[in-house]
Amino acid sequence: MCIRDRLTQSTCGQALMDMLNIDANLKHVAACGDTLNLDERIQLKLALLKLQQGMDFDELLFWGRIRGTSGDYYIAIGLNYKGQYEFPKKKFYWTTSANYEFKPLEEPKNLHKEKVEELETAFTGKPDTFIHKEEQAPPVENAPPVEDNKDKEQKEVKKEDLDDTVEIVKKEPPTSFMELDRLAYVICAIENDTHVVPEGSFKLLPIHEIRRNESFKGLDKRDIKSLDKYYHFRNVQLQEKKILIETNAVSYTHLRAHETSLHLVCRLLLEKKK
Amino acid sequence: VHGDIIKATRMQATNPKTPLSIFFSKLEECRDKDGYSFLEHVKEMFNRILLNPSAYPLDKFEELSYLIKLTHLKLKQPPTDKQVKEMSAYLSEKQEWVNRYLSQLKLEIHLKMQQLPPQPQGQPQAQPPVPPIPQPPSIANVIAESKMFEWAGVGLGEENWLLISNAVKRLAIQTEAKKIRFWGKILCSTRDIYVIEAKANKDEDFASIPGEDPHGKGLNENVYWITQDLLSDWQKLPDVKAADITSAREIKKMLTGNLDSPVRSFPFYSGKESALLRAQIARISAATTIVPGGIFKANPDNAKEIMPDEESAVPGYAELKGADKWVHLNANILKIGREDYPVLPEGSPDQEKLDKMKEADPVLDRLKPISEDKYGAIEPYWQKTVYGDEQQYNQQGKEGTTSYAALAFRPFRWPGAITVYQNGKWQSLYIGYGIQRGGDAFIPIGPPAVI
Repeated sequence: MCIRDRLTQSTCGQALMDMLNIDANLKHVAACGDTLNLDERIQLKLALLKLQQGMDFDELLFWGRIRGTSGDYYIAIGLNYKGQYEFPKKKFYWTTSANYEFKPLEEPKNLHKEKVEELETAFTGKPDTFIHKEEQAPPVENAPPVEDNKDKEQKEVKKEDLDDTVEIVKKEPPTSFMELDRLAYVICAIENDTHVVPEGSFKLLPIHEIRRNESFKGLDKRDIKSLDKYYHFRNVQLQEKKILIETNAVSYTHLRAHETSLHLVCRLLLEKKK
Repeated sequence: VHGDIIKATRMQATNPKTPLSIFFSKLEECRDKDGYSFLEHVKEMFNRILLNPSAYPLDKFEELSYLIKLTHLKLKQPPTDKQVKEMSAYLSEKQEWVNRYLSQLKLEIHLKMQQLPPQPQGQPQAQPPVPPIPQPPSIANVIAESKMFEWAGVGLGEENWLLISNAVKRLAIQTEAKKIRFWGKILCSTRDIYVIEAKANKDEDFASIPGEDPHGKGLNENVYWITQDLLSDWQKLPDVKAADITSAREIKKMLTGNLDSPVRSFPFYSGKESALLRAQIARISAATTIVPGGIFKANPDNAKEIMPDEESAVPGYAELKGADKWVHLNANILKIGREDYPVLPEGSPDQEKLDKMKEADPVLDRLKPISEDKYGAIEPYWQKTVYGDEQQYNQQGKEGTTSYAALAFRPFRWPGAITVYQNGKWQSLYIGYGIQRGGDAFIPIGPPAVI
């Protein structure tokens, strides 16, 4: 069963792949026409094992591939369930077909948001391609200086409020927009919109953490085609649903956890796929 | 040890004066709305944990408690007659599926080859003229090609390739087509469609529509067979009309997979989904089927047709790496939705109009090299990727060297189309939604309700 999102035209059949079972899992996404060739499979397996050594994840899965004109990007996702309130923390890693070595992907910056939406060209496969180059005096172009400036700016603004003086707020210096930044946006957007899981495949523990449900045997035959049985794997974003959850919240200090059905809590937490 | 514990507690519990029995009777008063008591619950939990302690570590304590509550110690009811019926229906459905799969795997190819009449013994007689052995049809070797496509990252799963391969061979026998290949797969929102392309047979009974290309010519040179389930039969798609193509160019619509449903779009599409599907297949075939240059040549009698060039050999990898060595196999579709302009009778009043159209949109030469295709300002039309190692190796039993790398060409305009070349063999395939890249689909939203 292949669920496809029309907008992003991505597929999440078998949600993410555990690389050890890659051959069996690839069969499930075969219906969509994409597969990994032998070279890619072996290299990715080894690269993921290498990545796992340095890091401590609950799950390290292969997220997918983004095709470019001169090379492809391969993305892995590390999930940490323990110690996270409800949904796991997602950390992305990227590599290219030039050298299979996973590197962490930075969080997307809000700076270039509008530009990403307008872009219709394909990825090139070279992460340091400039999409929009900014000429500026300090040589360093990426994240750290911008954030420092932002903090400074906030402090300045607060000070101004206290002092009641009017001063021109310093604009953050524009930074170059590279392909790697665009990649970060696109991956977050795809993950946000299309990562879905079937009902019952995850469970909420009384400590408000999510785990995979080992006793999940799969959806009923009648329910496979129904969109109601699939949920987004992220926190609720609609304001109305957030309010609903807050009013229904159960206080765990009084040990009344068993009164709320776990099933009900999961339905509220997991926003339904429209 | 387990037995001893139980014995000891039972003795203490049954004797009414011991502290343990008072303790238990108090616990029994703690019940839920169904009358299920705390004591029973705890007993059940202890039983499960004691019998299998490694399966229930402390983290799972709450989960075990919740699961026991769900089952409430109820025994499994024997199945009702309705459930028994459902079960047997399910089993027979499974058996039917297995039988259908097996029938798809059985393949009997008996290509009808002419046989020479038996020679009578003894007297040498005048030999009757030997009829020429008809050429066996050109059936694509789907499984070998699937390995080639896998190198380029395109695949449908091994088992599906086998079923497709058998379907291609079976259709070749049934339709007696001269040339047949697996065209590709169109992804739809409810059920996907597999497509096989076969060269049309002139004997087929396709009613020719006046004003459109007759069956076997122009855009209807190929006939397309489709199915939505690889275990079922394949159906023929009807021939394409010029109007279908011109209307399809104006809309951007993803198919639902239900071929009899109308196409809801703006501008209005007059045909059903099957017509739109056939039009898109025609457009994709025309734009994306490419072959190495030199394999075909223009027919000296009629420049608009092509024929195989017997003198040429398949170019090697080094040559084919350049985009200018590849040519389009099919003719370009004109703005009017046909490959060629109609011939009007003498003295027709529309002759001037037709001449103007011909000037604005001339019929291009066949076998146009792909390097002449233009897409946008930045990107080239065709993207080339190399998979595997490009090293040239000597060949056994053949002269010259070859490379075993796979070379893939993907057009930007039609995402999902691909042509792969490897070691002297090439094939085109399309797996996608059947829509062009770019442009927005205009889907007008209705106004809000009037209160």
